[in-house]
Amino acid sequence: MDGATPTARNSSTSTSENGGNASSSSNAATAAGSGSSPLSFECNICFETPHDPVVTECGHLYCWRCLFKWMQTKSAYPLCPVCKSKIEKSKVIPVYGRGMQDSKDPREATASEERLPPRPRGHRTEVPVTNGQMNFGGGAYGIPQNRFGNPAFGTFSFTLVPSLFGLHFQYPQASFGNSPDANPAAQQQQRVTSADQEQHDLISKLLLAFALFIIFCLLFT
Amino acid sequence: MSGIAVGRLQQERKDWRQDHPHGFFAKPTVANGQTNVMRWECGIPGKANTIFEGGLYRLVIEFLDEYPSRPPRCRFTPPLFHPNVYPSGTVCLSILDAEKGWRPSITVKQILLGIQDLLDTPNLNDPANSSAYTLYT
Repeated sequence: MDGATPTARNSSTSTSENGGNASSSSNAATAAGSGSSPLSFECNICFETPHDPVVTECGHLYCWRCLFKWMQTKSAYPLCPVCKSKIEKSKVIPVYGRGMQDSKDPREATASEERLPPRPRGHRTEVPVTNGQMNFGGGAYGIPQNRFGNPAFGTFSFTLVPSLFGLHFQYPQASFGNSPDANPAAQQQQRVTSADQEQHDLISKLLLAFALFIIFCLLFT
Repeated sequence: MSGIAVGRLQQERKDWRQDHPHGFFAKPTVANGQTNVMRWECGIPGKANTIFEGGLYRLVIEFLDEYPSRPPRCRFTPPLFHPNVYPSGTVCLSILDAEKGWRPSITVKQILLGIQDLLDTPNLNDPANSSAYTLYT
């Protein structure tokens, strides 16, 4: 067995990722142990099929209860039990397989008398919604375009004005949305795009300031 | 709870039976006809070309209910005279220290291989037996 043993005292590297001959045999063992599947999707703590599976940012799979217990014992500075990467509860990713129940059976939690918090929820990012506000605004501010009848000026008002006053465009839409049916959907959309809107508002304000500056320059020269 | 510990140790036992390094043995103890998975009897062969060659060093591994969040205690029976083995026989090894290198993913196999490696390469920065340490140095 010489040469095949991991150096235990330098524990950070040797035993962690199964170095050397011993490791390849251990990998083979787990693979064989899991039966037909060549990959073993087992919890790295209890070595069983994960219950409420979660994945760390470094990609290692655990039961939520196993990982939570480990994080509790190492509450000051929890590290991944496999690779010693820093882990955080908020950054643990739940894994939802087909047909898996997201909500845990509460009886089970009381049976094992664990104060186990619910598994962290998945982080979802919505595709930014291109709502109808630009069309709407273009229509409203498109009126001067017709009135002046000047194509150049019309284009100017169409492109610049909505971006200038994009901030104010939210209000007509919101007030329209006050009708009982449209309200929830509209609010949902508002919430989803709030980050986008903030950015948009900021740009609008900057552009407004810039335009005012140019107008002042034109006036006083 | 010991729920995780027992299940994990049964899995460890299964894995060990399927594959383990040559010359080693590890099995749960049997007391009054009942298998106690929380206490294992193990044997580590000395490495070839070392003074430990040919020997089989027996030790007992005791697992706590908190296992695998907490490391097991490994004790040579009879105690081994070694710089990193306490006079009681308990092995002093970083991967077996909850505050140092222990991680729940370390298997019994890795522990035993680690202890085998420790036999002929003692860690003199962390002596556990002063007389063995002074003799060695």
